[in-house]
Amino acid sequence: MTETIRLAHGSGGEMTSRLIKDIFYAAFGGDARDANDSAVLELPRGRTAFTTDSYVISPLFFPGGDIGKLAFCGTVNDLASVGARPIALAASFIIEEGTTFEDLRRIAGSMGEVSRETGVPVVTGDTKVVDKGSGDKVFITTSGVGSIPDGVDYHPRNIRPGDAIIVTGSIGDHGYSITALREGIDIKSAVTSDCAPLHGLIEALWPFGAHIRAARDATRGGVGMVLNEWAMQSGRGILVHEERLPVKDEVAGGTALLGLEPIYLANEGKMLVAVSQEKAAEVLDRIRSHPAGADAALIGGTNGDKPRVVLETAWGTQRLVPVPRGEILPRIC
Amino acid sequence: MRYGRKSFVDRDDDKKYVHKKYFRLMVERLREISKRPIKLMEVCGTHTMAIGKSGIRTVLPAEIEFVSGPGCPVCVTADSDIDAFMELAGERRVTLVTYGDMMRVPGSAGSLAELKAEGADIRVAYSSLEALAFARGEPQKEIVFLGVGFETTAPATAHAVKSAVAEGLPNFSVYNLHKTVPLAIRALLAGDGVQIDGLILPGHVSVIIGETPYAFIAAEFGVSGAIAGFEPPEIMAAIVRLAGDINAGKPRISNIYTKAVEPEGNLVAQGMLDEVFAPGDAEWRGLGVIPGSGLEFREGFASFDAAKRFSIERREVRLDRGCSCGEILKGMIKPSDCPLFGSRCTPERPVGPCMVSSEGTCAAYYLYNDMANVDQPTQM
Repeated sequence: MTETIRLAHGSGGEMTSRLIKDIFYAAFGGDARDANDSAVLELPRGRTAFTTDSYVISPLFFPGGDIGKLAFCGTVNDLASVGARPIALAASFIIEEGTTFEDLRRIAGSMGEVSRETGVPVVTGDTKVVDKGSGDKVFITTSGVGSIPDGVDYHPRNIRPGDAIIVTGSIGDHGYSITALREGIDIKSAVTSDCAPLHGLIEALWPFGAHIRAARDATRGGVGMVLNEWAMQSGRGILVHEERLPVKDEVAGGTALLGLEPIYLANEGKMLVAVSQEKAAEVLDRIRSHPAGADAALIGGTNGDKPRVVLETAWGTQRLVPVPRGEILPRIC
Repeated sequence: MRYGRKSFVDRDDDKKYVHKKYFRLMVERLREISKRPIKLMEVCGTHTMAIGKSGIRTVLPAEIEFVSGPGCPVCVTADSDIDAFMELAGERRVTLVTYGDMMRVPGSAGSLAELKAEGADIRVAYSSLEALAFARGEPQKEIVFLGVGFETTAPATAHAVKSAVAEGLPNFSVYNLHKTVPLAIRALLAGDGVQIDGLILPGHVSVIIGETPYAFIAAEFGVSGAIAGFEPPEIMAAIVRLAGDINAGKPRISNIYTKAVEPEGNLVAQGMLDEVFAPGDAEWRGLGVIPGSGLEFREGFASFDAAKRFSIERREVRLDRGCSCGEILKGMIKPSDCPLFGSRCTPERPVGPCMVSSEGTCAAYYLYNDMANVDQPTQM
């Protein structure tokens, strides 16, 4: 067995079959003998959610995860954001010639692990190999389908005056840990990526029905980006309180040093949830009782009808949280 | 885990509580002493951004008005100078090393970013020392560092040049656009522009030059000044001091940033500046030529002057972009008064340097200033 992936591994012949069997079937389960050109699913009646995302994060491996786990959780979380239970994922890999088998096995293995933990299978996929220099080690695209139960409709247009906004845990961990890694900061860093699947947490909120207005995972651009999207899509103003934003000590200190703001850093295991005023406290409790939501906090809510995001600072002043501009960290997910 | 962002990067909750209480006390004090309308100018761009981000304007009494000054080195770079270094980077095939902000400033023939996209070797660096490292590592290339900035960054440029001398580095030079702040303040106050009652004096520049260069502001012009830090309570303390002085009719210069600014400044840095540079004339966007406000290489260092080395001729250029950058830099109008603001000129598609720079007045206003009529927060 060669140690590195070569162009021949992507040519569709015997080497490709072996690659798929030894790496992907080994990681995701299933039997190559049952394979067909498409996976065939029986979906429940009602609304089906369908999403896709590509992952180009560099470096491939980081504290708290790797590109594989990220690709899996990211798509699961996009399904959860619309209130869907994930049913199945597709995973496509574009691999640069010269990537080691070891790395690919690790990446597929991470995906397989979270697939088993969540019970969401990877049912179809693709592999291509490109020349050295035509890619950057591994790019992954995952697509996912899920099923949305009746009575669940998560969309920013549902946000109305008086609604509250909850964040499910500490913000900026993923963005910060990747930056710390890239800048060579603090080997003893305790902050790792928060990469995690959140569909279980969201399903625990289904019983609240229409009291849950919207949910969204705060990936690129962080909480700041999502809040601005919600303000624009709902036509409502949003106010959040700086003192209520959960920020780990190290992230607060480290970002101050680097001139970054936690509110704009990517998260890979955190959701924002918009909820009715009436049920806000109860929903917060429910989220906190879930392992992925232990540090959840009620951070603010709607505020007027100028679609913009205002931050009440720790000093009692107010300022705008503008849409983050160009300098968002490159290849963060 | 704690909730809330840490200012002052300290771990003591009690201390943070004290800071916040102190801040509130200052807000109250300000409301007590504010009797008449006053106009304050923050000189430096970093303060403009810090004031915007702090949201301080939302708690100031209505009598206190802020205007922004010319303390943004990128913003005050004249069109003639932009065209000159564009020529250097474009036609002369040197490797130009610059601070990031300069990349997008548009001259007659576009910006450095556009030149770079066309294949010119233009690199972004955080300091002059990086440029020096390029010169050492790539002896076949002519490395030119674009020296922009005030007294804060000029010492680092001086240090780089001195190192180049010591090492006998033949392929390093500086396109020198460094300027000094006090004479620009004098030109502002002496000009027939806006009537300013008090100045928030730059923090970092003052670390280098100390307090004494500002004495003329109170002594000759009867205007008060306060050297301020960048955290909300530090800025607030400076505002309280200025409001007090102005309302009492007792102009003076105060140093509220004592944790970083010594009365005499940083003598080592001053010595370095004096060794390498001599005062020369410099053209400031909006203010025109201010004699003595530029830092020119002394004769002994002339060989490191990129303008001389590459015979770059500085031609008189004044672009008419339709933007009001010049008046904004003098505090005569606010960015929102410029006809292009927010419509044809935005941070994504900037027309003038004031919108390009991360410390630009227009950029700060665009990001943070839509706070008129802030609604009451919903009850939590």
